[in-house]
Amino acid sequence: MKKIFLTLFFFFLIVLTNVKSVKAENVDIYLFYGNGCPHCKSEKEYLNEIKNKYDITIHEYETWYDSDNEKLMTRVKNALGIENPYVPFTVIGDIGITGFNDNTKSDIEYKIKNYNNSENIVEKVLANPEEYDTLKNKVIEDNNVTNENKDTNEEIKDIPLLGKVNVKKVSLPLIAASIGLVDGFNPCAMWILLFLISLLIGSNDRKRMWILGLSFLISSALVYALFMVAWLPVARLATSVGLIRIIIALFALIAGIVNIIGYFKKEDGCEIVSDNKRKKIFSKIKKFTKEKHLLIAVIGMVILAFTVNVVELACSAGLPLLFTQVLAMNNLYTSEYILYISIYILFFLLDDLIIFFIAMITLKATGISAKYSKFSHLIGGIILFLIGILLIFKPEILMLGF
Amino acid sequence: MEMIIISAVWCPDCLIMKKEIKKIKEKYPNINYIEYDYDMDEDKIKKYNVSNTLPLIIIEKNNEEIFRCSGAKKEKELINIIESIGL
Repeated sequence: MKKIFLTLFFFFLIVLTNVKSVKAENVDIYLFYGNGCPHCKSEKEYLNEIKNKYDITIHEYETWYDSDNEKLMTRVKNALGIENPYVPFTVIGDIGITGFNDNTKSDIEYKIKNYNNSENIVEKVLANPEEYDTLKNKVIEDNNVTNENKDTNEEIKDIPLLGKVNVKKVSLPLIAASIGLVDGFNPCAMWILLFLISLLIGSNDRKRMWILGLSFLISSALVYALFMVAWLPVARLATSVGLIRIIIALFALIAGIVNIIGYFKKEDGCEIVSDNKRKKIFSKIKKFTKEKHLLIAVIGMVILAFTVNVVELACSAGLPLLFTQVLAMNNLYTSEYILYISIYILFFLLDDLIIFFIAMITLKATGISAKYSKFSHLIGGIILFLIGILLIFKPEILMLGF
Repeated sequence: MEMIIISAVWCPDCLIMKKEIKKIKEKYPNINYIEYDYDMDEDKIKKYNVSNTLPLIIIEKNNEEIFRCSGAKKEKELINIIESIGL
């Protein structure tokens, strides 16, 4: 009898325990999002839809305009071993899901159904925030998230002639290359390169010609890159502070209109740079190219490239600034910023490199017609104007689905 | 009859037009071609009152200017100019 009683007691105990565990419990869902991010908007709508289906509490944290929330998201990602800055980022118990698409939906619902009193990682981080200032045990995939989530934000689009194209992977490099190319035709510093080439061709030392010419071009590229990198913090600030974004947008609109007017007003041919400025630069180029010691000549070329390009930046700052703005709005890794700025610079320098290589190989100076540079004013102006409009009215379009 | 061409080594359009002028020289050898460099021949070009665009082409007949244009011109355009003036 005692045995039967004990068996029944344990049977009910097990049943009761199990009943407790299968009983639906309230699940906390933490959503880190950015205001204006299209994927975040879709996830918010989806979570609101499933609110009636499951017993869930949604905690929303805006991270683009709220630095405290951004810090919290970074700490939570650190705790989960996730090293990326992307939103939307969803946390349910002890798992983190980056991005949002159909696969994410099934992951979220699977986790809600199988919550089982999971450890609440956000609460854990909130209790001891400083402990998660650095990344813990980096993971390749998000915890318990299926492989499909690796490409959560990627959008595959069918483009005629090209077939299926991953918008995320091609859009930024493509934008970098095309804006860089348009910017490269800007004639602001071209006249200096041509004058340098004319002097280099005059010397008989080919090796010296290549070294001095490339020193000038590489240093010019470096100035441009440094300028864009220096602008990044301002551009990032502009994405979170609406007023700064509007100021930059207005600047883009004005620069765009000036460029478009310039296309219609500018005469065909090469504009003569003021005598004073031209003569000063020419005397410096002459001095450095004639310098007997190669090292001093190279240093001279680097200094010349820096001074000349810093001055000429005022003439062509619009497109690199706006491109940096687009990069900043896409919340990238540092390595990605460097990659896209490098692509921009490479295409920016492409016409200069072609002209320099042809001149060094054929020993004849050649040029790209001023008609093309005039046309670059029009295209550049239109790009500036459009980015300005988008910055004001539809900034999420510039986020390219990241 | 003279064709005065003012160009500069730093002007891409001047470099492009050099090839066109070469063809014109072969086609119209009777024209006296005078070429100036904007930086090297500063004193000589003062009298032509160069505006702010290069290359500059000036055609003179009996030391009197009868035609002026700036910007790169193709061979065909230059032929049209020469034929219309009747050089």
